[in-house]
Amino acid sequence: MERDPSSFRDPSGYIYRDPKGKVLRVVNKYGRQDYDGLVNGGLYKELSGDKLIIAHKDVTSTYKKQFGAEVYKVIEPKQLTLVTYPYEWSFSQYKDAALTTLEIHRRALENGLSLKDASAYNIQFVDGSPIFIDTLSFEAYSEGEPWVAYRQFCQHFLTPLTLMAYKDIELNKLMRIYIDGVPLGLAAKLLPKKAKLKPGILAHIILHARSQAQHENAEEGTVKKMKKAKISKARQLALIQNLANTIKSLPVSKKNTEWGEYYTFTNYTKRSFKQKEKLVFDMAKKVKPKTVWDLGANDGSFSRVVATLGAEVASFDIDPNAIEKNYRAVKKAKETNILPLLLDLTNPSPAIGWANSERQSFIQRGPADLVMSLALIHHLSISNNVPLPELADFFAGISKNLIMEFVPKQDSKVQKLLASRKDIFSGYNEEGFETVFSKHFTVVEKKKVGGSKRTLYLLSRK
Amino acid sequence: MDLFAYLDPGTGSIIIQSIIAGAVGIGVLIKGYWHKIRLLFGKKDKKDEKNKPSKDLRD
Repeated sequence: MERDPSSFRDPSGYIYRDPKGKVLRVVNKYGRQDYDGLVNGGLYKELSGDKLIIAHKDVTSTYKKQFGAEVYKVIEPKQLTLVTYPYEWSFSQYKDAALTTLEIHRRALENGLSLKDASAYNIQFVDGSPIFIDTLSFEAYSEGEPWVAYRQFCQHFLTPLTLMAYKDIELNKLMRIYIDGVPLGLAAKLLPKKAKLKPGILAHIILHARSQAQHENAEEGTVKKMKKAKISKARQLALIQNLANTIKSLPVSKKNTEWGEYYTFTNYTKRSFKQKEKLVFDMAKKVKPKTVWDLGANDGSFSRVVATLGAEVASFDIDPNAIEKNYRAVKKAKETNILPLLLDLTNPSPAIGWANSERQSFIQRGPADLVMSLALIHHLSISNNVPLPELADFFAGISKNLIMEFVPKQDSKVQKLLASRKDIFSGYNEEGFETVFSKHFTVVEKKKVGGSKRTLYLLSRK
Repeated sequence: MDLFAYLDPGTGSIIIQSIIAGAVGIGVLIKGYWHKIRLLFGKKDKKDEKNKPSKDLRD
C-alpha cells in the first residue's frame, strides 16, 4: 500500500494505491463524523444518484487490518481512467466544473452540511461530465457560519475563468504556476476595465482582493471582526447563486485560430478522408484498446472513429478552440467515452505541487493501450526540430501500441513548413523513420493513404 | 465561526464574504417583496406560473 502523493492536506483521510494500482480512500477516526454525515444523512445517495459525486463501495472488512487502529473506514471509489487537471480543460469544461462545485455546495447546505473544500482538483471528468471525487470534503454546517471554501472557490474557479473570458482563452495555464489557484490580486491587476465593471467580478475578485490585502496581517481587531462574521443560510445561498450567475455570464471567446477550422482545409479529399478513417478503424480494432490517447486530435473526428470500439478516448490538442468545439460536441451528443483535453506536446503538463508530486505529469499518466499520432509528426519533427530518435523514445514511453501517420517532405503541408527555413532534416523520410522507430517498436502493419503521399503505420511496443 | 478549518479560509475573504452575502441577500429580499407587491395588484408573472425556476445552479 502506498499513500498517493497528492493526498496529505486533510487529516480526515488519505488516498492509497494498492500494489495493483487500485485507488482506495481511507477515512480516519478524525473524519468519522463528517463521513457519516455525508453517507448516513442521505446527501451521498442524492449526489451519487445524480452523478455529482463519485460512487464508492465500503471495503472496510477487506482492508481494515492493513491500516491499523486509526482507521474508521476504507472505501473503494469508482476507478478513474485518466486524471486530468484544470490547466488541461477548455473554457466550457472549466465552467461546468465550477457550476458543479457550487451545485454540490448548495445541496450540501440544504442537507445541513457544507463543502469545506472547493479545489478544482476535486473535479474530474467521468462519462463526459464533471464529477466531484473527494468524499471527505463535507462537514456539518451550523447556522450563521460563512463558507470556509469561498476564497478557494474564487481562486480555483472564478479568477481563471474570468481571465479566460476577458483576457485570453489560454490563461487557465496560470493554474500550472499557482497550485492553490490564481491569486485574486493578480487577476485584479490583469483584468480589463470592462470586466471590473461587472458587479460579480467587482465583488468577488476586485473587492475580495482588496479585502485580502487589507487584512493580510490579521491583527487582533480583524480576527475579532472575522469571528463575529455571521451569514445566514439564506444569504449564503444567495451568495453562491450570485457566484453561479457571475460564472454563467462570462462570455465565450469567439476567436478563431489557425486550427479551429482545420478539417475544412485538410490535405484530403472526401474520399481519401473516408479511406483514412477506415484504415485507422481497422488498425485500432486489431489492438482492442481499453484506453486511447489521440494526440493532435483537433475536433476529435478520429477519436470518434476509435470510440466506436468501446475504448475510453482522451482527445488531446494544442488549440483551445478545437478542444472547446470537441467538448461541446461531447455534451450535445451525450458521448461518454471521449474526453477532450488541452495539451501542447512540445511542453506537456509537468509534475507540479509539493515535492513535484502532487499533480502528475502527462507522461506519468501513461502508457495508453493505443496512442494515435495522425498528421502530427511533421509538427514535432520539423516545426519543433525534435530528432526522430527522441520522438521514438517519447512515443515508446507513453504507448503500448501506436498508430502513426508519417507525413513525408513531399507533402504540401511539410513543404509549407519548410518554405521559410533551411532543410536540416536529412533523415526525415519513411526509411529513416522505420529504422529509428524499430528500436522500440515492431511494424505490425503499413498502409498508404490513397490520394496522398502519407503512410499509416500500426506499431507495437517491443 | 469554526476557526479550526483545515484550510485557511483567509481573514479578508471571510470579511468580504459577509459583506457581499449581505448585499446579494438584500437583493433577493427586494425581489421577493416586489413579487409579492405585483401579486397584490393582481399581476402574475407568466414565467413563474409556467415553470418554477430550477434551483439547480448548473441550469
